[in-house]
Amino acid sequence: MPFDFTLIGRTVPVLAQGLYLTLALSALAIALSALWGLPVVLGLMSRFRAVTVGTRTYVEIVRNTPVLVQMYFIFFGSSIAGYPLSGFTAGLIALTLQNGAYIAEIYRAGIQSISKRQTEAGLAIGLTPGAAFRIVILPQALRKVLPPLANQGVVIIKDTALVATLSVAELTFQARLLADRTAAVYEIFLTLALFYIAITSAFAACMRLLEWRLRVVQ
Amino acid sequence: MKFASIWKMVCALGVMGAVSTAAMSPAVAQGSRLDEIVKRDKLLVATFGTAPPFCFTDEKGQLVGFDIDIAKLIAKYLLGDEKKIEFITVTSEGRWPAVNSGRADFGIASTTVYPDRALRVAFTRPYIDSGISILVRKDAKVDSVAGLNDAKFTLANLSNPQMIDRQKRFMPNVKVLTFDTPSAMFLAVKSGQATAMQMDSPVIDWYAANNTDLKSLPENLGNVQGNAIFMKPGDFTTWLWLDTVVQELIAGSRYNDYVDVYKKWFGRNPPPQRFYSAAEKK
Repeated sequence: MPFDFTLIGRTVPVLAQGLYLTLALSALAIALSALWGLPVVLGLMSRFRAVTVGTRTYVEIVRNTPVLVQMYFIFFGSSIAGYPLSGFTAGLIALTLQNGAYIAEIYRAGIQSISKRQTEAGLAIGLTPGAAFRIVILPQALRKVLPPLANQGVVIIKDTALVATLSVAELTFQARLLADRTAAVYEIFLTLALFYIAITSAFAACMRLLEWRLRVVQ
Repeated sequence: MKFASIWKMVCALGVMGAVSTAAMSPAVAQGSRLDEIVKRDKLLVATFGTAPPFCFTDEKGQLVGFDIDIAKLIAKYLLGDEKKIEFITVTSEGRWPAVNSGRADFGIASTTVYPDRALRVAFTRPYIDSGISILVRKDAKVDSVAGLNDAKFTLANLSNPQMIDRQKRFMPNVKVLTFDTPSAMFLAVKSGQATAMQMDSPVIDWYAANNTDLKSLPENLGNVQGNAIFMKPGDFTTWLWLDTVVQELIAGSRYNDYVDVYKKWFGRNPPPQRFYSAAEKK
């Protein structure tokens, strides 16, 4: 049977059933990763060596293992331990642990890119170290990290497809079921790709808008 | 500018689709795949790596199983050597593009014949009977399908719609988890994420025999079904040859080879060559 373009129209409603879970998982994973990145970056930049070493170890472990392996580990491991987590929760934890580590590195690069003299200047006009960080460094760093954060957000959205292997009925899961029923793999995965392009484009556009709103007019 | 580049991507995908339409049209195909295989002197076969005892990976990392042995017999009949074969391992839904894209000559992967599948791939006649059985954790204290039909239990399905249809028909109350490989289903049952799993009877029997904490329920779900070899439709020469080989294996001149492989994996004799006794000389 040749490439059937009418099938694309028929697959859209079925895929749309998975859209909600993909959007929910993406939004939660992006928000939690961005939050989790904060304590991690504080750990990385801590004055206490034990904290730095501990945080660095964590970052290296999660960055150097596939997120799919982490998902399996959490999903099946949790039930062997007697506290079975749902596929959604296990996937969310794995995505947050991994991407939180990446985002912490993005934060660190952003903070370190602001010259030390800025802090010194803040201290010179009588700010406390905390206030100098909050008022002088943070707003500048935030603008610098927005583009790489947007990039990481797109990575997270695409990685949510992996939870299909943990029995979460999101977009990719629906597409695989449909592909298995009809064997019309090209049509279905083409439609699936269009869904992801739509989601990631919308997300990227929002982040561009945010960047534009927060820009410094010179 | 951003949107312009997105449109370019969409158009490129469209062109890819159109190209694959042209490539998939039977009118374009010259000669049969069979000639190509003989010229290449090697068989390319799509299969699973995780569905014991049909096609799975043993401790040494070798693909083994009933389906693997049948595929090797086919290589022997066609090319004179069972080693002239290369296996391509695929996932449940990856079976169909593996043959339709031409990456594999045919697929043999614990695959049940269904009418909707037959719209997209060409099946030979079945080379083995298959039913659907249930593997259950002994600690769940369940002895029947009816007993399993309870919201406090979880059933692991493979990611194909027939699994869902059967579950809705026989166990509408049970909770469901869906995985893309039989080994992930098995891991779910073994780890306790699921209470039970449904799968082809020989697979379930194999798991039950190899795990003391698991057992198979005595009832089967639904009908006796057939597992068959599948290939890209439209190539009559190749299909006829494969179908003939299956016929010769299960009931004809190569039945003795079939008996050997069947006994090796299932520990018993296959169904007889004929249902009437006249064919056998006592």
